[in-house]
Amino acid sequence: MIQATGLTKRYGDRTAVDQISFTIPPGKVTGFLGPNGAGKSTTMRMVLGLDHPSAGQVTVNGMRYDQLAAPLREVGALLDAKAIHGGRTAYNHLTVLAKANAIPKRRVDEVVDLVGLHAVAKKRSRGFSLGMGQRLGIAAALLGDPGIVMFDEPVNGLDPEGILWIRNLMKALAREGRTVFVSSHLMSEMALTADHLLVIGLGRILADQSMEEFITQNSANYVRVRSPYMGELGPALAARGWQVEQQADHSVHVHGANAAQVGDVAGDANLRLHELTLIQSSLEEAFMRLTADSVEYHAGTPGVPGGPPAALGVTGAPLAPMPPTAQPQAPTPEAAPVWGAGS
Amino acid sequence: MTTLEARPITKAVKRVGMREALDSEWAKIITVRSTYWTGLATVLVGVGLSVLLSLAITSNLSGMSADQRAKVDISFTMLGLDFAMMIIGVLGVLVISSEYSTGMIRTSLSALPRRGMLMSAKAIVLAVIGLICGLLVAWGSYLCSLPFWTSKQISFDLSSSGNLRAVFGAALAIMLVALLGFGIGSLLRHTAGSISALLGLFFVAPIMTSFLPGTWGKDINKFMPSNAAHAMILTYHDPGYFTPLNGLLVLVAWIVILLTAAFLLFKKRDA
Repeated sequence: MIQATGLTKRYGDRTAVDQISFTIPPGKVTGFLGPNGAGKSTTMRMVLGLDHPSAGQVTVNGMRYDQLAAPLREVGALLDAKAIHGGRTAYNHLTVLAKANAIPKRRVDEVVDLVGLHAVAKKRSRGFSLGMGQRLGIAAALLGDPGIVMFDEPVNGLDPEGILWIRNLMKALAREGRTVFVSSHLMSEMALTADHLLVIGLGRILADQSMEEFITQNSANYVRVRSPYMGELGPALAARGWQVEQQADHSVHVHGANAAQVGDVAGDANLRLHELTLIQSSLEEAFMRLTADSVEYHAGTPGVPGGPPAALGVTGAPLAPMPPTAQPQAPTPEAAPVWGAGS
Repeated sequence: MTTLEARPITKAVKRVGMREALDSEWAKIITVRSTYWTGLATVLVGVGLSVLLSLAITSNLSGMSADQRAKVDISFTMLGLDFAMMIIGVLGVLVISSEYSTGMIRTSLSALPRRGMLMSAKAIVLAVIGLICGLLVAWGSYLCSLPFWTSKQISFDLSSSGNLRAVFGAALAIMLVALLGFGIGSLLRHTAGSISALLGLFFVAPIMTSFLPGTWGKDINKFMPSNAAHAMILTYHDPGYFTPLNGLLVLVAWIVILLTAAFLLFKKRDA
């Protein structure tokens, strides 16, 4: 159990974490989600007592971190996989940590095997790849068989196999009744692992709810329609009880219906369509909408000042060819979500 | 693992303390190569230069004035001490600055969050390594240089008052300078900057102070760590240096001031 009350961290006149309060319960994977610079790492550093809070407090099992009898046996943390002395072998690095918390030496061998570092355990960690470093960091986190584990962006830089491994590990740890607190800036990643979401933006908690709640609240679908006969089609659609919204670009958004239903209405009335697109708002988009005002660094997106690309999360191809100018924003391959969380 | 029931994991664990901190820090210092390299360099350079300087001086004894010859004492067998101190000082810097440059300090603090304990354990472990190196430098220098002097009918008998103390004084000086480097490294947290500061304090500062008007320069110079350390291996009173005991006290004072400041900052600063 990790508990924060009014936790605040200021650097000069910049407030990195602004009076946040939360409780991370055991038995669940709690995702700590927020854009870069939202205050995730700062919060985690304060949990470990590395950074001192400017105000408020955070406790681990009811105690301040530096009051814990044997910290590594209660909290295992991976904040920065590179936070190791590269001249020391993986095995010696773990031995140093084990000795500091009176953890038996055989446990070092156990975690080395657990994370699959056996072959390189006697090698100096300087030559480790990002993935190997990450595994070593996780070995260190699990060394004390802690009831609480805390990972900061654990999948960063991992290959797909490593990502899958970490996901399963976190779920298994939570099933064993441990507190699992994991940060990420990727909604898609959280959607696959987290049971509960804590969304942070510009140092403030924006959402604290279960993943199911978040999904039902935020995954809205609608159908985008264009037709030269909108004057007749609009009322016909509205007559079915669907919510019809006229857009500035002369398209119409129909909520409550799927593409086939809208197409059938138009066909029955012999009204030609120029576009019929099912728009699925992904969780990624919901997350971006939630944090849009709190993103610290905006990429310059022409035409969409300060916001996420409007067409992100668009699935399904337009039925009718459209002039390029009619499209509000072309979906960019880079911006497309890797895992369609909403699909 | 079929049950999805939450089962908070709590264990009764023994509170870890200084014993574990020392155990861990000892494992830490002996598992990096820089310890062996700097330790080896300290001993080789210290003993080697002592022998070379003894060779140079003993082969030119006739060129010395009576005044100069009167000043010859056991300290002349350990003239490599200044350079050995520099190198062990670098080890002292590295012990802490490498933790900051690699980020290891955050891992160390997550295992031992009580900062005073972590810092003391580091200092104690470093002092042990420093004393081992110091004893090797002091006795190595004395024993290897001695034949050059006895061949000129000059002997430094260990049973004579002061001589034995001088050899142990040299060993102690090495240990203390390791801690001095540790203090500087803890304050500045940056390897290159700390080593520059250490070199400045040992080589540049004494030269600068000698430009001060009147007797100021001489008086301040006595307080310089290198001169305080040198005072510890003298067996006669030289007005340019403190007595051995005062030299020791001055060196200890440097360390106490630096480590106290470093400790207060370490407690206060974010890691």
